[in-house]
Amino acid sequence: MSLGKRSVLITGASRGLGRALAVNLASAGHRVLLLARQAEALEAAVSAAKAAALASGLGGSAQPIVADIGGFAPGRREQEHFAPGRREQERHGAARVAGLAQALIGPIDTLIHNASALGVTPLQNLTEVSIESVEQVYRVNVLGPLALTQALVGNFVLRGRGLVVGVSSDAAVEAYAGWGAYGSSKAAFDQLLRILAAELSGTGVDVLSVDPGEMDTDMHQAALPDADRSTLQRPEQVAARIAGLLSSPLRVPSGTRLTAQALADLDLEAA
Amino acid sequence: MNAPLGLGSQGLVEPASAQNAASRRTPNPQPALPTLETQSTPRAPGDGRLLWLDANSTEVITPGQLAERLPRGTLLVANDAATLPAAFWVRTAQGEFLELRLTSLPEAIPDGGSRLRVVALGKGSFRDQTEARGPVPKLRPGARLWLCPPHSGADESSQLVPLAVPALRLQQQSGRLLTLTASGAAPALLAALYSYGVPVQYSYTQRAYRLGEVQNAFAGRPWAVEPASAGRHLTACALRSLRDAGHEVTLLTHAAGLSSTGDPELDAQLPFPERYDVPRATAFAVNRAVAQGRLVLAVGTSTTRALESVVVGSKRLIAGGRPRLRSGSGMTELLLSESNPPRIVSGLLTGIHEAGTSHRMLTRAFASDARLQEAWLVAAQAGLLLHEFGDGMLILPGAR
Repeated sequence: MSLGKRSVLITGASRGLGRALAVNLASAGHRVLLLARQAEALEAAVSAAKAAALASGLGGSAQPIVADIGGFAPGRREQEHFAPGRREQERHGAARVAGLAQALIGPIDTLIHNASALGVTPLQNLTEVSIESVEQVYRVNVLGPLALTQALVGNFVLRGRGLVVGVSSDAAVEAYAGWGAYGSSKAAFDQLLRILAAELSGTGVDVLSVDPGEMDTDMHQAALPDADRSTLQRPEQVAARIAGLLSSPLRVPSGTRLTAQALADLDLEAA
Repeated sequence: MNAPLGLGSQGLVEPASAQNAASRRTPNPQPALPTLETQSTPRAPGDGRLLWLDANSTEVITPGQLAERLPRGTLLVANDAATLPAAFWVRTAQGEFLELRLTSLPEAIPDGGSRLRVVALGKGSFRDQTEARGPVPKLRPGARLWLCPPHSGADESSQLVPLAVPALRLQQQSGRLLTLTASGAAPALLAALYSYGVPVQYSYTQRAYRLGEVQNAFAGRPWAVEPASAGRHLTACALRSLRDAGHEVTLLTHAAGLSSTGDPELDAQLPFPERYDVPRATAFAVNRAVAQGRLVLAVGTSTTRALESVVVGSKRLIAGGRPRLRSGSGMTELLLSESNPPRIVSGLLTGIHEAGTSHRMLTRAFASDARLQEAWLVAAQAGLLLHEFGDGMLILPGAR
């Protein structure tokens, strides 16, 4: 299966690393679903991925799913009873995304959690940051991805194959002032994926966490507007390395957290 | 007080009259069958209990006990169809609102666009008995229908949202059964259905279901219009435990369909043809289990019907005359019963339903009436719950 065509769902796919991954994988012949919140940016990314698929002629495809990951986990004010107008909350829940994804391209085997919330910018120290904004970061970076994973991974286990990938950050490991919400959420998600890997050990379902390192993306700009962009990696480069992980049998154990350096080293080995 | 095993039908009312027992006197007054409560609110998968029926016992177990209790090397086959948000509202050109219920996933048509086969329901909502819903107007061929957000049916202004949803057109109408076409790309229609559709539900339920609540833990492709609910008893952990204990778990996909339309004439035609897909690996595993004399346990009636639909006919039996499966996909209208019993499936995990239901027709292919009545008493004593979100029943060889 790992050598064949994958059916991939990528979150946060309208920009940055997510978009680059989608373009790369569609070009490599895989069936890709791009998920993002904003329809217009998403359509542009889908067009780029479709064009890449067409150009390579390997049979890849790309389609959009508009959804807000931050809405997948139930809120404090979740309504038990349906009321007209409250439908928004549930409209694009995890089960709906999982169902729509498989209505569009059949069984999914690869889930890439790339969508991330940075929190309020300019970044604030933990002594000042609003708890509500931290909660929102946790929704997008931890709870939403967990809900989406739950909606898909049971079928992975039944079919005896599947890959769940989380995009991490060195803010999960280092202590950068101002990165409390984002950094701690990424640390939480890394640990969640590690435990998931342990729970799924022996089922044929693999779980990985990847720290791509600093990239020239909108997110990076929002966090560090004064950074020298010429020193940053291009998302397309990083995407190619991550995609390289997917196109061969997994060369690292399930549950591994790949640092940017390890990812680059693996890539060099494969070359 | 436990009903002693072996009571048989002595002292029990005939199944067909069980439903009326409370409301009429029989010439020989006999104790009525106890009633069971309905679990009408979805619980988490794996939360129920199972009534176990085999040659020697009728008892209540938990899904967690299955791995150790099942005969060595049991092959379970599960239907991995996810539940569609198959109910959605449309507005007619005259401003009337109709609820439409898909009978299956929309199918792509050659010239682009999609075809939908739906059952239409008039004024009212799922809280009303299906038969009591308002009438469905006779629409002109070519009439247009507009998808809209969920509508309670009450007198309130429409909440049409200017989204780019494909227009639906009526191709054909036969009473409540409509065939519609949707122009434009199939993905747009599917996205609209997933935005506006809700799960099909009936009047015995207490509140609106959320789509996530009516899925099995291992659900995949959204082919089912109503939940393939026997699968609710198996969590992802349970799949794991079963395999670790040396059992096999394989899958197929079957488009479990509507169970009621509210129109007696249409209801008499149920089930409508339902799509199935039995993968090669599953057919291989089943054939091997049969050859090795191992139990083939179907998780749900939908699974049973799909498997039995691909049993190779008698002319092509291998030497030794054992029935075999051939993998494949297609449509089935197969109905199983005592007189048309399964040839490959030897055990069934299903829900608990009253006597006199069509569901009982299939279970009688696996267990005698006497055993089913006895099971009912044990279930009542244990306080087991009925219907799709209730508890389950496991019928193994020897229960016949």
